[in-house]
Amino acid sequence: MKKLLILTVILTCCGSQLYAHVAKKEVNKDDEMIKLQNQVKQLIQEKSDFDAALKLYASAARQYKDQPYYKDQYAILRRVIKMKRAMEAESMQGDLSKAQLKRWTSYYNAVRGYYYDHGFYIESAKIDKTAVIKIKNDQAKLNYIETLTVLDEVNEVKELISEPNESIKGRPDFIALQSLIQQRMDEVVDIAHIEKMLIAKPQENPRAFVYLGCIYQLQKNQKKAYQSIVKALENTPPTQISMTRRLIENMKEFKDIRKTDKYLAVIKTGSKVYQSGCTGGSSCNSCSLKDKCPSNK
Amino acid sequence: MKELRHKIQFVFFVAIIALVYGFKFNVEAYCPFGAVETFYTFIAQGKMLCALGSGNIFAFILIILLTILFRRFFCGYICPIGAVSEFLRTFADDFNFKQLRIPQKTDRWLSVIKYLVLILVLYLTAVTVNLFCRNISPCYLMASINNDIKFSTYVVGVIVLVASFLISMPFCRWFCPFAAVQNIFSKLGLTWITRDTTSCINCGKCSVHCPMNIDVASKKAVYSANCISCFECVDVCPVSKDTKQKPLKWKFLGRFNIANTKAVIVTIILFCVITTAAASLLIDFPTFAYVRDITKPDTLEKIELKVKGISCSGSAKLFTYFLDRKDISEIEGYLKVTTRPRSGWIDVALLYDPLKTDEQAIIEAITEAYYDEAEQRWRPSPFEIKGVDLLGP
Repeated sequence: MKKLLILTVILTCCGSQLYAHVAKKEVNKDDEMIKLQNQVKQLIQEKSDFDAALKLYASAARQYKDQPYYKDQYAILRRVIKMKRAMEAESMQGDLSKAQLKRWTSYYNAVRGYYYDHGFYIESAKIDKTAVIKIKNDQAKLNYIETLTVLDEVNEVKELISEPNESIKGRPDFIALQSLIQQRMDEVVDIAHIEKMLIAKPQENPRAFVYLGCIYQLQKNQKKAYQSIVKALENTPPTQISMTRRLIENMKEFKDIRKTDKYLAVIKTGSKVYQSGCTGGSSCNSCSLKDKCPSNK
Repeated sequence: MKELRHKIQFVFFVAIIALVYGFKFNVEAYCPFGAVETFYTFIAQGKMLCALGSGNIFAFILIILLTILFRRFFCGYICPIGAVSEFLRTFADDFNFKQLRIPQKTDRWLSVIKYLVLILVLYLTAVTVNLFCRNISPCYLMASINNDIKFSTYVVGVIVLVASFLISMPFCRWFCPFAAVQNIFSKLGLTWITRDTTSCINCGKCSVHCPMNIDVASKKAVYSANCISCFECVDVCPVSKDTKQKPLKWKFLGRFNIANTKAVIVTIILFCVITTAAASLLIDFPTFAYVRDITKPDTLEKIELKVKGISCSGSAKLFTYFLDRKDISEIEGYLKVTTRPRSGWIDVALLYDPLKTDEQAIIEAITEAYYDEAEQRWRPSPFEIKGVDLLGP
């Protein structure tokens, strides 16, 4: 009996160790992914050639069948192209009906989400500009201001922020963007007030901390600039953190420090926001999506 | 008999560990108690919880038939918790840790707990629409393939392990909710141990050795629902000098002697394993159904697809989320989905209104990526349809 028990323990330990060993043996293909991402970025940002980018993902997906990443990216981009074309077709129609506008807005959010996720800000500026005309609400205006700020289109954005609507005026994300633009133009900015506003509800506007960091960077307060980046990343949900990192990397204020050790350490800050992530598998109980799972809606 | 029983327990235990850790096999889909847990949702909503499926139902039916025939045979031969409890108790014996004996009266009171646990588990499972038992079941410590074991499960597991050192099969006797279910059928048991009171010398060894603490020595026939048909009482029973036979015998309906016990036991176990596996593979019925909240159309058509990615009730619900999408691939007029979640390619049947949608639109809705506005992220579809290549020709 004792022998059986000992044998069981040994077998269990060996089995689990063997399994852990096998599980770790996954080939790291990060370099190839980065290379492909850069090629796609070039095609979309510089040439606006979405179809060529789609073909790149398709051939990568065929080549690396064991890597779902390429297939997923292909599926998403194909969808984005379809939505983009649907938006363009509807934009030609002039004024949209309520239902059409609702659909257009949902496509716009999805496509913009993709552009921001991949750092395609020039493309985003194009649809943001159309959205301001089509949707005619504060969020669309704010989105456009944000993209222009990221692209450092000072003259264009100056006009937009000069006459803000009453409803937009008090929003912390607007104030942060407005202050950044003012700072870029060497105007006086009440940074303490902005920081206080953002810290009150940090998870509501995590990206605004990036703009706050830019202001600090322009004011040569590097310590505070880094702290703001940390705050931005900590308060961004895990599924959006790569988007925020990309945004930080694209802000011109951080251009000079991008290779410093401190910056490289800070940019690795992880999210502190709890967010579900679909685990799949056989257990619903283990699924942290359970409460927020769209499948439960 | 004891040796054979321990070998059988050991085989089942190792098989479970190997399947779970070695092959990532979802043994939970064959747990007979799973069928009890999901009974309410299956009857009320047509769907089984989590990754449970027809295997649970077949295993349950077989175990119940087995219980009606041989009482709580499952606990004494197949259940991994029973095995671990016995291993630990034997291990403790080897180190001269004396067994803690609980008086019969206290034992009876403690036995009531398992019925309360059963009621609690069934109630909370129905209310939360989740397998509540995983939060407290020591069995889940072995069966989980998702690293999702709760702290409470560890606590119960440790308590059971420690108690098993000191007491014989404490979980099986007092706390196991499936034991409570089995006890209901075990009462009807068609076989039992009889004691020939004339030849019995009242040595009391049978009571001392009974792992379930049944006072065999005071009974003419062991009708106790707790009997696990381990035959330890028969093994230790001394042969009568007068009759040259053991006073304790295993009999069918108390009359017919069951000869060659070992062969009977092995045959029964092989029959159970093969039948459950074969039935769950060959007999297919949907264990997940979703009816959309729309007016039933006049005309309905059916599309049958082989889909990969629907491994559990949660992913089946995610599947309906993709079908219910409100975007460029929105499909109006689909009414019902039925499927049988499990790993690999599975059959999915969809009923739809051909006037409002078509097969191509349904396929597109299933396979296309979807933007989640609430979480502001893109979700590529985790589902694949056999014969449909997303990448195109």
